[in-house]
Amino acid sequence: MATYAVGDIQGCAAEFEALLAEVGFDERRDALWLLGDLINRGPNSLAVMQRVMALEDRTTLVLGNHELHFLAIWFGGHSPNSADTFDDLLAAPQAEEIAQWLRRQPFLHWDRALGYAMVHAGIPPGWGLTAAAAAAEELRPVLQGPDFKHYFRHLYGNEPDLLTDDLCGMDRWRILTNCFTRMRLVDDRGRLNFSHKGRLAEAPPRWRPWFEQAAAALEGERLLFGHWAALDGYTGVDSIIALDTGCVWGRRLTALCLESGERISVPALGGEGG
Amino acid sequence: MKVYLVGGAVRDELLGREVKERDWVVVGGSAASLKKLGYRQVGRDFPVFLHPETQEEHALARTERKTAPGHGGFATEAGPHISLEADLARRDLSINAMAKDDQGHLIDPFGGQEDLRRRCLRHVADAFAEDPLRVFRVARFAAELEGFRVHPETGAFMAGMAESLGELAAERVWREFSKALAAPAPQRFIEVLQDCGCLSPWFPELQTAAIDSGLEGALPRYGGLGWRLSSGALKSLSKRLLTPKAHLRLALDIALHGRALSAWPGLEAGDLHRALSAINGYRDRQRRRQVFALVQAESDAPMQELEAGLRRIEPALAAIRQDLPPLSGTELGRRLQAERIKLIAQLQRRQTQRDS
Repeated sequence: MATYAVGDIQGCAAEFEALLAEVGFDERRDALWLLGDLINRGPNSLAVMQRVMALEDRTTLVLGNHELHFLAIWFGGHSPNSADTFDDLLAAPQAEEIAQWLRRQPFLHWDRALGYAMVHAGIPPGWGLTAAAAAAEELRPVLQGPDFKHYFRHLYGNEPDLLTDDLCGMDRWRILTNCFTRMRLVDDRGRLNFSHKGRLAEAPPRWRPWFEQAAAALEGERLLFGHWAALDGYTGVDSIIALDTGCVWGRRLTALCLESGERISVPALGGEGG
Repeated sequence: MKVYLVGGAVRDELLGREVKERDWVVVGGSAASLKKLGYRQVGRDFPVFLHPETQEEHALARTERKTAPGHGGFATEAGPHISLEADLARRDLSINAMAKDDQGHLIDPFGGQEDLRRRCLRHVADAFAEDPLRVFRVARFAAELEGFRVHPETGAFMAGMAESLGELAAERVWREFSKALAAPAPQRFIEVLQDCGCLSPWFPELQTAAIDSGLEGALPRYGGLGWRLSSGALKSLSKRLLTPKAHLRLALDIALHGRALSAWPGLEAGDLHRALSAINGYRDRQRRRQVFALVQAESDAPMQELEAGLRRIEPALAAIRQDLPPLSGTELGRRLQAERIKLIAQLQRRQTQRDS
C-alpha cells in the first residue's frame, strides 16, 4: 500500500499511464493524489478525466485553475480562449457528468496520519495549515450548493489582491480560490501578483514566492503543490514540495511516493500520445 | 566444470521450433569460479549468472525442496556436488527436463524425447505438485505446442492441486495466461484447466466464453472477450488477474460499445458520437484502431470506411470552434456536440449512399 502524489498532468494521458506503470501502481491497494490541472494545454484531456474517474475509489484530487476554467465555461457562461485544448471534453456526451464530478472535489486535502497536505497553487500568505484547510472547507458549499453557477460566473478577476478579514461573499471566495489555484508571488504584506509565471530568479523586485514565509506555519506537516512548472520541482524549503515538472511543456511528469519519499518521473513523449 | 543447454531450448530444437531463449546449467562449478571467468551474478533467490559475451543465463545445478507454502517457500541447494540429473529432476515436464552437452549429445533421463514424439505433457516426478503454478504452465504449453495432450496421470495430479491454486500470486497466473493468449491455440489453455477442474478460482468467467484464435496476439484476444462477457464479468476477471489496464479497457470498449459501432452506418448519429467519445475515438487513434479491428473481426461492418471518414473530417472537427460565434458554457458544449454529430451524420450518409 503506497500513496503517490502526481503533479500537473494537463491532458498528457500517455505520460500519466506511463507514470502509473513506472511506479507499479496497484489499483487494489495503492492510493493516488492528484495536484490539480489534470486537463488543458495537453492533447488528451478527455482520456485523462475518463481514467481518473475510473480510478475514483483510489484517487484524491484537488482543483487546479484549469479545472476551474473548464467549470467556468461549462457552468459560468465563460468562453474558452484560443490556447485551450479541451474541445473533446466540451463536445463529449459525458461532459456534464465530468463537470458535476469536478465541482464536488476540494481545494485542499490534508491527511494527518500521513503528515501531508496538498493544494494546487498554495495557501493564503501568512496562514497556518489549519486555517487554510478551514477556508477550503468554506468553499465546498459554495461549489456544491444551489448557487454554484453564480460562483463560476464571477470567479474570474485579480481583485481583491489582498486577503483581509473584512472581505465577504464573492470577493472573499475569489481571493481564496486564487490563493489555492493561481498564486505564485506575494509581497511582504501578502498581496498577490499574477503576472509573473517564470523562474524565481527573474521575479520582479519586492515579490517573493508564497512558500518562503509559509514553512513556519505548517505545524510540522509537509505541503505538496503543483501549478508552477518553472520551479521544476525545487522550492528550497524542505517541508514544501513542488511537483509540477512541466510535462505538457516537454519536460517530465513526476510522482512522489509519500511513504518512501522517493520521486519517480517519466519523460514527456514527443508528438500526440494515446 | 561442464556447461549444458537445458529446458525449453532443447525441447524447441527437437520440435524444430524457433529457439527464443537459451538457458544453461553449470555442473561442477561454483559462484566464485564463474565470477572469475567473467560471469555476472544476477539472481537473488538462487544463483544465476550472465555469460560475459552472449549474456545468456547460466545457473548452477541445483535442487529444490518445498519447505513452506507459497512462491518463496523453497529450500535451494546449489553447488559443485549437484549432478545434472538431480537438476533435471526438479523440472516440471519430461519434455522440459532434457539437456544437451557441448558435443551435441542429448541427456534425457525422463523420456522427454519419447514424450515429444507422442505429443504428451507428462510430469517428471511427484514434486510436480509442490508448485501450483505448474497447473497453468501445463495449460499454457498445451496452447503453445500444437497437438499436445496432458498425460492422464499428470491430469490427475493437476486435479489434486486445484485447492492450492488460490495461494498463487496474480502476477504469475497472468503471465502464464497472457502467454497462452498469444499462443497458436489459446482455447486449449481453458480446455486443459476445465478438464482437471482448475478453472476456478482464477478463470470461472471463461467457463462459457471462448477465446477467438482468429485474432492475433494477447491484447486483441483479451479484448475479444468483450463480445462474450459482460462488463461486470470482465472487471472481476481483470481485477483478480491484475490484467494490464489496456487489456481491460479494450475489452470494456468492446463490451459497452462494440455492438453500436458494428451497426455504425445505420445508427443514430448521436449514438455513434456517444460511442466514439466513450472510446476517446476522436483523439486516440491507437485505441480507435484496436477497437475497430475487433469490431471488424466480429462483424462485416465497414470499419475501414469509418476510419477513413474520421480521418477525412479531422480538419473539420478541429475547425468547429473557430466557425462558431462566441458562445459560453453548456451552450458551447451543445453546439460543439451538435456540429460533431452533423459531421458524423454526413459521414454515415456517404456510406449508405455508397451501399445502395
